[in-house]
Amino acid sequence: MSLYYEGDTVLHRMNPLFKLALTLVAFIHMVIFPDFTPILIHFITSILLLVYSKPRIPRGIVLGIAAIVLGHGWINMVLYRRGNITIDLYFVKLTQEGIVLGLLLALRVATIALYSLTVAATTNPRDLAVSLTRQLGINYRYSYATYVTFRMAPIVYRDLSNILIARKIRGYKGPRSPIKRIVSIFTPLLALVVKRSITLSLSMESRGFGAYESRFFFRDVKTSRIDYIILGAYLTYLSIITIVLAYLGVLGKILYLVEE
Amino acid sequence: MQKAVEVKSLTFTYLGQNKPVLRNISFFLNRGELLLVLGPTGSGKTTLVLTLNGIIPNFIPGELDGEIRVFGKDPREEGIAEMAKHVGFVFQDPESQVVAFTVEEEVAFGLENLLVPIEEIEERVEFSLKKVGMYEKRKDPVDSLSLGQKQKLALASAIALSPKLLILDEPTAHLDPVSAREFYSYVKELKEEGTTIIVIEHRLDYVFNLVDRILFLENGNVEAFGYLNEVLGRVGIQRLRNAGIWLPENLLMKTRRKNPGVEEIRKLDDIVLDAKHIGYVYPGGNVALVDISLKVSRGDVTCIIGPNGSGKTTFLKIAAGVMKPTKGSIRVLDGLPSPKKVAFVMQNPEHQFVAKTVIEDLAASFIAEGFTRDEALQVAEEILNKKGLSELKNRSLYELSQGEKRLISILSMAVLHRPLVLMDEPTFGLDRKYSVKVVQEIMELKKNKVGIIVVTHDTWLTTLICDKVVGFLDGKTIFQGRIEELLIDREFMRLLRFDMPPGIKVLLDEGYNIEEAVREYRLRLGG
Repeated sequence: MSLYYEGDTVLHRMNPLFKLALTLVAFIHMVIFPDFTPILIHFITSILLLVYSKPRIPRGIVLGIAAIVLGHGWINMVLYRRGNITIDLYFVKLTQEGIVLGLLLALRVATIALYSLTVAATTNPRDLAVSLTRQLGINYRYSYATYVTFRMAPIVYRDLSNILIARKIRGYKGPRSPIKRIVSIFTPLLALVVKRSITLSLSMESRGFGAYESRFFFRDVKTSRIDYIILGAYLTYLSIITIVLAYLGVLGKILYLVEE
Repeated sequence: MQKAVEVKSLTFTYLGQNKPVLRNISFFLNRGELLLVLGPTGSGKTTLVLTLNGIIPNFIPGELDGEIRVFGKDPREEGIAEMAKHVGFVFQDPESQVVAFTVEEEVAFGLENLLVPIEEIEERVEFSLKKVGMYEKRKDPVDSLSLGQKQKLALASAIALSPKLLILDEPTAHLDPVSAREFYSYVKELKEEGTTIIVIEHRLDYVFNLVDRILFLENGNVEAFGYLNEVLGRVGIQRLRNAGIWLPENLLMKTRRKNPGVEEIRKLDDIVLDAKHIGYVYPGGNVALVDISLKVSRGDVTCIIGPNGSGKTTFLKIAAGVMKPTKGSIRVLDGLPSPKKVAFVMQNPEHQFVAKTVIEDLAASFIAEGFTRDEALQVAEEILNKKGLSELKNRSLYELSQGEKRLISILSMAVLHRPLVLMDEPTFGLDRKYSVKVVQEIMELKKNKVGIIVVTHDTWLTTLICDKVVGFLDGKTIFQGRIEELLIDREFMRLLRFDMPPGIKVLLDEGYNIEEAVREYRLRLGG
């Protein structure tokens, strides 16, 4: 679903590709320095960025992310078998190492989600499509495919929600097999998506979409000095953090290559 | 003088099909004229107009024979891009045809594709949005617009391309009456400025005065083509009605019917729904309902009317117990609302489908009630036989016409035998034939003392069947009363974007008072 909301923050004004590049840098940094302290710094940074961007995120998305983060952390805690058992819950036995690993992984997933939410909340999908074509030279037919997907997402979400409501009212529980149950929900959804997609593609084609190899962009998306300044500032920030953490001796392992 | 559109012996068969959808079609249209294309669902109307801008066969493949000329050009040879410069299109569904996120980006979309210089795009966007009165909304997100505004936006996007030929495919099917009237006022202006226009419509009240020629299609054949009066004379009103076409009410009012159409209202004090000061705020902070109060009795049809975005569908979901109000109280029967207490006919029939075939879908309602599969199938078959729909029994739900889908969606809810039935736009997008069937189903529910809430934009439906009308505006109930009370209050009609049905106007002009006019309207239209 498109989470984009209009805003007037620096993040809103940045070129989408620069935002993606910054996110990629953060992810790479987290891969290279996978220990607790650097991840915690990223977690705090991602929260500050998200709060700054003033997003309006639906409760469903927040709950979904929370479920993934907690579920991921819990599964890793439970499945980790090395070390002494610290907590014995009869069916589930947790070791200290397992608890630490679970928390660390949950923190990492939460951080990735928060960075991604900031990008999604501050990036107009149209600007992303335009910059993919203008700055990266991707054929506009493909970049618009991404754009149209974002455009259709809320409509599809609404359809899905109505399908589930109708089933609840009819008391229909669906087939016992989970796969068949999913198929029975997705069949009407797919029928509607196809119907809507046909209208959308006819609407686009009848207005000359794809008629020429290139197209103009009424509201162009360019790179500006602010993009470079923020990219530079963020790289400097990460460098300083890395040096300080190394100096304090809490940077931890690098790429899991150095075994303790 | 060169004709705007000239079609000779046009035959078209979709790729992979044996039977042609269009057979030997011939017609023409002079510059500046408006052609109304009529015909029952599936008669080939949309297929025909898609051949005029080259979408068929360049984008949708098939075998196309015959001659087509649009301003002297053959769309097959010119291609879609070239034709897009001359032919503008507005489709039925305002939601699905919008590509962009903001109003001005949507209008600019076609111009960007056709490589119009940026300065000119600015000018044309401004011109088109001013033309439909939406310039002040140019920076707004498309999702913040009502359906009526989205359709005006679609018209602006077509106008921006400066088309010589404008094609409108049931453009007002989703709109409230005032938005539909406004839409056609812009079409009228374009016609007066010399644009050639082709319109496909089932409901003729708004477009009738603009029509120069009519093309009447049936089963892919031209049954009649010519000036308005010629075609009406040749085909006859009854045949057009049988083809599912909504003739203008002022024509229908000239025929007095003997058989009573709708039963007189029977008031029962048995309250099935009692909502007091309901408010609802969506999790993102959008306020949908502010203060809604209404009661529904058994055997009463309560119509909720009001502009798009006034909270009608949100209220239905609260009444169905699938959303909880953030303020106020609501009782259905003796307790809180619950999905098990209501039946809900949704705006889109596909939302309700749970099976592949008609009989299986209907049977699913009985299986949920505890019937065995065999018992459920047997009962479902009996119901289909009783309703005269037995030929649909083994058909795939997704192959049905829109009208057939609607009937099945009503049946699958009606068989739940719930005391309260909620209906969201049950007649939207339907031709006359299926709208009549929907009315019959509603009247049968009423006879069985079911409380019914119908959310509708159709003024004829509201006037024909509603015991009580409730007007929503900005999440508040601003009107509650009988239809007669609404029809004499111009201010409420204006606020609720409700147009007096043309048939009522005719009757008032004939000297009936409002009570008599509504009674007479029900007799004549119901018949």
